[in-house]
Amino acid sequence: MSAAVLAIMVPWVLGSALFLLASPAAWRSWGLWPAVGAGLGLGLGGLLCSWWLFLVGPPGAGYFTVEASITGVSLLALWRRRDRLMAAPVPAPESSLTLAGLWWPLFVVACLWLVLESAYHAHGGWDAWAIWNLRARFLFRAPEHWQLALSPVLSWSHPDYPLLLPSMVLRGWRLAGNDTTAVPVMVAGMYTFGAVALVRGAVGALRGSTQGNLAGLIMLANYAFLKHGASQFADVELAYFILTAVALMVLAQPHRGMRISLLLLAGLALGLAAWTKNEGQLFALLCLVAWPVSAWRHAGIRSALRVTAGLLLGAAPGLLAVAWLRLASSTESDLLNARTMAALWQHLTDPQRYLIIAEAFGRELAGLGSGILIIVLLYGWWVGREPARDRDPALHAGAWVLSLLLAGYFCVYLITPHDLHWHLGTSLSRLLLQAWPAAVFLWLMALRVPQ
Amino acid sequence: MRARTPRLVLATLWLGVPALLCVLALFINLGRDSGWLRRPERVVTLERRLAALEADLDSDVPVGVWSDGPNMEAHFLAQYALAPRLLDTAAQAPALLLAVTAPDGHGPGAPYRLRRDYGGGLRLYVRAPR
Repeated sequence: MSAAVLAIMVPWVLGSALFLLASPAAWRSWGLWPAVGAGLGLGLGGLLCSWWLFLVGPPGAGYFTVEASITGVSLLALWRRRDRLMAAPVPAPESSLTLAGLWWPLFVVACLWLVLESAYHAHGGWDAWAIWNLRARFLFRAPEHWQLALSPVLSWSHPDYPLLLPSMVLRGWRLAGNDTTAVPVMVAGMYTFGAVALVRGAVGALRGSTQGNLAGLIMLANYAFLKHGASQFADVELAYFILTAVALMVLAQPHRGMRISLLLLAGLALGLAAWTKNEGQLFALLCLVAWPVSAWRHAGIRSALRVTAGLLLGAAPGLLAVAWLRLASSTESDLLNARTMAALWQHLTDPQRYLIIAEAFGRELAGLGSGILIIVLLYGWWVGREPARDRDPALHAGAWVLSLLLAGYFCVYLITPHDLHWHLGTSLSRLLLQAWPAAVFLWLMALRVPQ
Repeated sequence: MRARTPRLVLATLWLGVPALLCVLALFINLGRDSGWLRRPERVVTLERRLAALEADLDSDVPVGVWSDGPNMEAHFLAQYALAPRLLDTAAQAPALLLAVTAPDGHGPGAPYRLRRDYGGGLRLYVRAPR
């Protein structure tokens, strides 16, 4: 158990230090930097662990020494720049309507629920058994032959899926010395509540703590999101990285001469999203196009080049890991395996498929989190949009990316070789949850704050 | 003060109503889902089977798989227990054979004899010596 805690704490410190080095002004936003640091640091630990496995071998004392050294250097750099942290602006005093009295008790209830749920389902939900923890077991029990986890014999477990989540679990298990279920449980908990806390922290830092607490309450109200987190599904990790990339870009304001270090961290989040799930690769691709185009339109070609370079450089370790896996694995994606153009064309030109998919999207969106989406939309209609945010290019670009991501999912359903009803029924709700935290963040950023 | 009071009331409503709805939504869902109130029997059974499988398969002997119909749950569980070894669907006369069948399905027959029935259509067979 203590090793599992250590497996979480060291990357948390590393991620927080990296974020504060990039954005020292966030020092007094206590709800923001720990939430960014937790997931980004753990993801970076998993990514390092993947590369160590590929290039060096089983991660052992050498790996953990390197990781601890990087963390130590980051902390030292932060200490040397402590003047900038101390110069961070003190948040303005809040009105009496802070909602903190509702947020904190509900947060504690949700945490206790997750502990109980995880105690009862320590191995997670079905996808965790069949895909994520199974893959982690392969990596932990035979690290010298990690390619076994990609065997076509396991075709039902999607051997083409990336390895970030299994690598994070592997890292914890190597530290613990055994494959205790405490590690995947803690990883899942960190990302579930990391996403909740990050939406609250980012909205709170940019729009005031009242709006931030409301954002946190909205996240906690979506029971399906918490449930998927407790089930140890990778969709929650992906949702976190999508949110982090979008939030960092909005925080960084690329159209106003942003710092390259924040761009690098946003790029890192893109790379981690791509290394978490195949859907994350689509998200990373969309961001690598949409953000530079937005920067070009609003701040010129130099800004666009700067954004492209920063994002690409940050995303490179994750994207290269995806490329490495593609070369190591002979398994094709079940969605793109050998199919004729005629079969694809037949699906694309079938109007019935469009109707079925559109209907499923409508149904799932209306029922998202037992109708929480409707509450959020009604709230937006009630308070109205913030005029100053109407023309914020960072918000617009984020909204475009999420819309195109959902359009991409729509297209995947169009061409899927699986039975359409089965495929929609078993995956659409999870895919919508991937975009949920980022959508809540963007929506509350765009709305007026009741004074 | 007069102008302030209605604004304060409005703002409280603006924030308070959706916030309370959020709290309500979580508690309604927690009330509906009884899975977290007690350990579900299905999970207990799965974990018992997993522990027994892991104990029985703790060796380097290749394990084949035999199936007379789909039983994905038993199949996944067997592979989860066996990792990092693979359930070898193409093994020729393996020493150990996991039969993954319908819960009331039949085994592979001679030359294999039943070593353990885990329930749910999952059984371990050993090849009888010639």
